[in-house]
Amino acid sequence: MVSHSTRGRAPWFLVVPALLALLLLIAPLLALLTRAPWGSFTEILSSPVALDALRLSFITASIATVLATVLGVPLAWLIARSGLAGTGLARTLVLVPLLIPPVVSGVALLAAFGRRGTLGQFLYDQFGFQLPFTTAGVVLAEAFVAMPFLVIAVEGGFRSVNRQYEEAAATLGASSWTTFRRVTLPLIAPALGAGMVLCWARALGEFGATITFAGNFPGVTQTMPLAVYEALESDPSVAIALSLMLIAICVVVLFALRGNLMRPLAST
Amino acid sequence: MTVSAAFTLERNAFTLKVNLVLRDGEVTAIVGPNGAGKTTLLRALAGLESISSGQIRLDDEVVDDAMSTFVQPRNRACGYFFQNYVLFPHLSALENVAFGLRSRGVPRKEARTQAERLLAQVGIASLSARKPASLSGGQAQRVALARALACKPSLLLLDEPLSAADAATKNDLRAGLVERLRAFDGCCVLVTHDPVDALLLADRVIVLEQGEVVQDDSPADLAAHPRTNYVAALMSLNLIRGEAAEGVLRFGDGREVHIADQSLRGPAAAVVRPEAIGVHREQPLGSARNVWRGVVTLIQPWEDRVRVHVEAETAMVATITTEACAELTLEPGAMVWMSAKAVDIRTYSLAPSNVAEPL
Repeated sequence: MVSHSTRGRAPWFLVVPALLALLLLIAPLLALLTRAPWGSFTEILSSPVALDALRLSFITASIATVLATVLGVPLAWLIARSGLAGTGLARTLVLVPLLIPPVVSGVALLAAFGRRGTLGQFLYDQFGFQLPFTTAGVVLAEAFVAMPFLVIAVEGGFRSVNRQYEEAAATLGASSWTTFRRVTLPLIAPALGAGMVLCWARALGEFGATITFAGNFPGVTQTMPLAVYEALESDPSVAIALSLMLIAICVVVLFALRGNLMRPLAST
Repeated sequence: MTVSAAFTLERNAFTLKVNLVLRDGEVTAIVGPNGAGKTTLLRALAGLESISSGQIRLDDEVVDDAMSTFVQPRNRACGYFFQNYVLFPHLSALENVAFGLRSRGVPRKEARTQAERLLAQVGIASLSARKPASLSGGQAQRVALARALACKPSLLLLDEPLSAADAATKNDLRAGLVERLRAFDGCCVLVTHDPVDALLLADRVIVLEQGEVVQDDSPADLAAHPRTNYVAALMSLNLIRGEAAEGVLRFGDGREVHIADQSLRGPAAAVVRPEAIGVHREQPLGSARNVWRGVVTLIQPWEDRVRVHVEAETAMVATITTEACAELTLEPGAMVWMSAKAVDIRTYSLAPSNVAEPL
């Protein structure tokens, strides 16, 4: 009888901590749902402050993702394929923004692009152009923090593409640009899609680097997470409503990733 | 196109060393054991590998000179058929075939028309919209062949064009390939490990072993006069190489074979068909002049008979009937005697011809 009752049952010393872990992860989210101001939900979300923050978040996260794609895909290629000396170091450096606290990223960005920063002073003196406390600064902060997600995903894509496809394209007369555009890029499309979605989601949620580098000006640099932070001091129910909005977006992203995007195309 | 390839190519511990001229309208088969450098040779001609010394010329153009020039694959007029097809998985059969035409600047509509015609020629016009993942092995092979031929290459390089096909479709594919090669007027090089393919498809067979050309002959000569054990095994023959004089072929340290040709002298080979070798449990006392004693290493079914591999003074294979095998109670490890009449042993000179001698 013992063999029947214990068969397939997980031991208690794993089950108990596992359930506690799940509780730890889910309880705060459930608490948000129970505390949400369901009655005034649409009213809060359609307030000018919320709409501005939402619009700004979408625009900056999208531009940051485009920027990270245009620059990050070539960087991923360089790391995965070039065989140049120092690519191992480059790969490690790409991971740094993932690991350092976002507020530190903001301080670093200020050191580089602030009015008195290494590059910022040059930009201001030459072009009268400054990044801190501007919407462009938000984009830069988000790209800085989110680009590693894209680079890592796309680099994995490049590594998994069979080089013979590129050789076949070359024997068929394709230039390196045609080969990249018509063969390599379509083959890494799933990895690129996943990388872009992760990058966009990370940029959307960016807080520390943005508030440090770009400040918290409604309509200019106040993205959703910043609006949540500010609302918490004045009206917690608004903060909860905006937070639920962000969670909903993240859940949609999660489902997008579980679907087509993650399915490898070039498995044949 | 005339291909002149005289080069060495070094990769890790492996060296490929060739000196070949391949002519227009000629189908050359490259055969050899695994790791002999067959695919490497094709890749060097296509520009997918660069050589270490020497030169490759396509007609009068130097496409690879270890010292100076290297023409990129896209600028060589080569069609390349990859062993595992390497069809672009995200493109339809039609787009795969049209890819080369589009890359070389043919307008979209014209490229599609030509690709459709090519697919029709290989007999799969109806599958043009299919993605490679939904094609059978045989269909994918035809698409890959059409793609390699699409840009009307002067040099067609085929890496094992029939190896990935199953036995049932292989004959069909081979017939299709023969037809396409007959219509092809350029220079064709095909790598194969199947002697039947080499004999049926090629005008000329080059045997590579360990990176060197060991034999370069017409299919008929290759079948009749194998120069190495590998070629002999491909042709299902036993080969003994040695020095001939006065009706005796001496090989190894002091061993000899009696042969019928009294006038043959110098480096020579003797071949015996496995069917012509007798197997005995006792020392035979017959008219056979050549008798060897050895140990059975392997017994395998062979068509309706049995092949007995024996490690004697040299490795030998005999084909005997199943009944004889049962009567002799043969099994691996058994001591046996083998015999062959001198008249059943075909001999020929191995004096240096157009091929560099191995060893």
